[in-house]
Amino acid sequence: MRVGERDLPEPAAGDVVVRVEWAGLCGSDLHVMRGGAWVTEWPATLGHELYGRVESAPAASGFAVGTAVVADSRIPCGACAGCATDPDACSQPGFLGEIRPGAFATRCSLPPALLHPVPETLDGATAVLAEPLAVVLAGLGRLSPTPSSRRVAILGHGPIGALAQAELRRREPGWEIAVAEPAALRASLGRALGARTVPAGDDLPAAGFDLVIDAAGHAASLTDALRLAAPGAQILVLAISEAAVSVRPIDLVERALTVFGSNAFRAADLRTAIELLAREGWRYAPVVTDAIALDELPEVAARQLRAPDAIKVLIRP
Amino acid sequence: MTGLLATAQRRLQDVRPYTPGRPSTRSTGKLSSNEAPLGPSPRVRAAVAEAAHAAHRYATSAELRSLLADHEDVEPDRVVVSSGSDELCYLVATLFIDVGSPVVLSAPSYQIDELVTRVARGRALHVPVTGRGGHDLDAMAAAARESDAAVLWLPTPHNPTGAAIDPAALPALLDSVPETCLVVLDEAYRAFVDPDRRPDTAAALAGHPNLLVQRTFSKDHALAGLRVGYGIGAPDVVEAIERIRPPFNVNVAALAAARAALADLAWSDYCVALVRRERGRLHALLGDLGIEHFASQANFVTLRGPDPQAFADAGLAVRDGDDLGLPGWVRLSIGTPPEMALARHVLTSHQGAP
Repeated sequence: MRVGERDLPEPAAGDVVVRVEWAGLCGSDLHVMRGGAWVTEWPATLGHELYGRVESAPAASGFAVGTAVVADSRIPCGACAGCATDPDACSQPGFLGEIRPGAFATRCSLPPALLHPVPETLDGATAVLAEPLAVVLAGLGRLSPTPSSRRVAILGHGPIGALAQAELRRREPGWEIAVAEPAALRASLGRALGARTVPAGDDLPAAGFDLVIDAAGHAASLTDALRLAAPGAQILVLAISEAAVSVRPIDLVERALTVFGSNAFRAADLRTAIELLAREGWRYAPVVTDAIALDELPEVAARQLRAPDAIKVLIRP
Repeated sequence: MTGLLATAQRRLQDVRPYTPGRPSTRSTGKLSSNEAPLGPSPRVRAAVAEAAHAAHRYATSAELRSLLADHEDVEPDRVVVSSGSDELCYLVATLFIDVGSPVVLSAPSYQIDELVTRVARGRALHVPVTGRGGHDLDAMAAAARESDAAVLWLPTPHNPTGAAIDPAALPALLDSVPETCLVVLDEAYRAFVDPDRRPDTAAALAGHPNLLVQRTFSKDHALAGLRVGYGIGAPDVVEAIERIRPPFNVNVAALAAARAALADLAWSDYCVALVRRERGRLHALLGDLGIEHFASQANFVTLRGPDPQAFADAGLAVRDGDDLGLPGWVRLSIGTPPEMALARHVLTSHQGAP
């Protein structure tokens, strides 16, 4: 990864150009850096979490210059069954920063349908959390029925795990939450939000949790999640890992476990995320541990790949 | 009118009004009052909301006093609770400073120490800070001895410089001032100090009845707006302060918040960790840019670089050193990581400017 000058591609007809004020570094950006997944054209401008202000917009877009916006990162594929009825329901979206130039740049050109205005009272460095918070809302929204019990394990307290805890605390302040996280600062936020923390999933009791959220995405985390799940528990997989995991089907059967994955979010989740951030941004803003200039990004991203110690890294291009 | 105000005017003749930190023009960016960037914990916020139901009741601080005694591992008769540290400063000045009493402070001094000394019409003896912004403890002790001082104000880390005393030097200072001189060790910023540089106040208190340690909930516990502070001292000193403090000096919301904060130390631990990370980054950048600054152990850094307007142009309110006895300097509170990214940009741009 390097920082340099490149021309902003000529905006497509109808596109809006946004001056990026804050971008967020996501685990999936690191995943791209690790293996080159998903990117259709190199060199790529990564980054799909974006807050900025409209710099130029065609009249038909409905956006006035200067409007503060966050971006929906999903680019509908246009070919799946979901897209046939509603692009918001696309089952195989591409992502900003992967199939078109993204947010780690001073400017970003986007179709107006992907832009959501945010209130002026919402600070940009908090508003940029809307996209990852929408991922969490969509994941929690898949739980069915909403767990009535009080024991939750969160594996990994990076941005997604931490936002998940913050959101669960908002909804259910009294639930018992345990967090497995080896990195000191991440674990510290885990405790600050009210969880008991342990370095690894191994340190938590087997079959002790009614909801397990895999936000770690390392080779053993889903195995840990299955071990930790109590009878009837739900397991929500939000982290990205390509490692094969061995599963004993009897564990699923005997404990009647439900395993959910959740990919991205829907536009309604993003709107809800913006509302939550505008109303109670203080709940979520503590996940931002680092804010850097664009030219610092290669070094910081490399460090996050080696030994993540930050939680959410924001970039100010 | 002159007759009516004669006493007040006599007392006010040397008193400079307190200048609070400027507000920011936005919801973020206020780096002028050394406040806690993330605010209080979710549980403290809930406790304050709940306290609204008891707003019609007078509340006493007895329970908080007892909790603080447990927290500090001292007997409750060694703890006095005040409406912020500032009130404790006023109470100390009222009790311990007579008209003309010698009082030792550093120059620049902490504004409130200076203010209460002057209101009490004490005789302020200023000892310049060292080149690194720290207290000159030998010179302060000598001044206290030579003048038979009534009070020696010792904020550490010092405000406005952020410099902390060498903890090993505290016993020597306490041994070398007169036993009749009250040493007020204001540790408002203690949580931000490197753990191995924090004074052993328990040992110091055990051997020195003339030591009063001040702590506050304003900084690491993020309750600046609610005003809760406390002192730890010898029982007779504490009893004297107890006798004159207003009976209901700490309000119900503040008491509830302080109780909740004491039960939620993981929150302040995390907030302090973030502040210390950002302070380290700021120190490193100031070093790289060659900008003059005091090495700080507090949640702010005082530097001689861009003027306050340059920060204001970036949406950041900082404290003008003119207000703090350091003309030409600015004091920059450590804010959230995004606020500090903006501050670093201001510093970098300033250095690159012709």
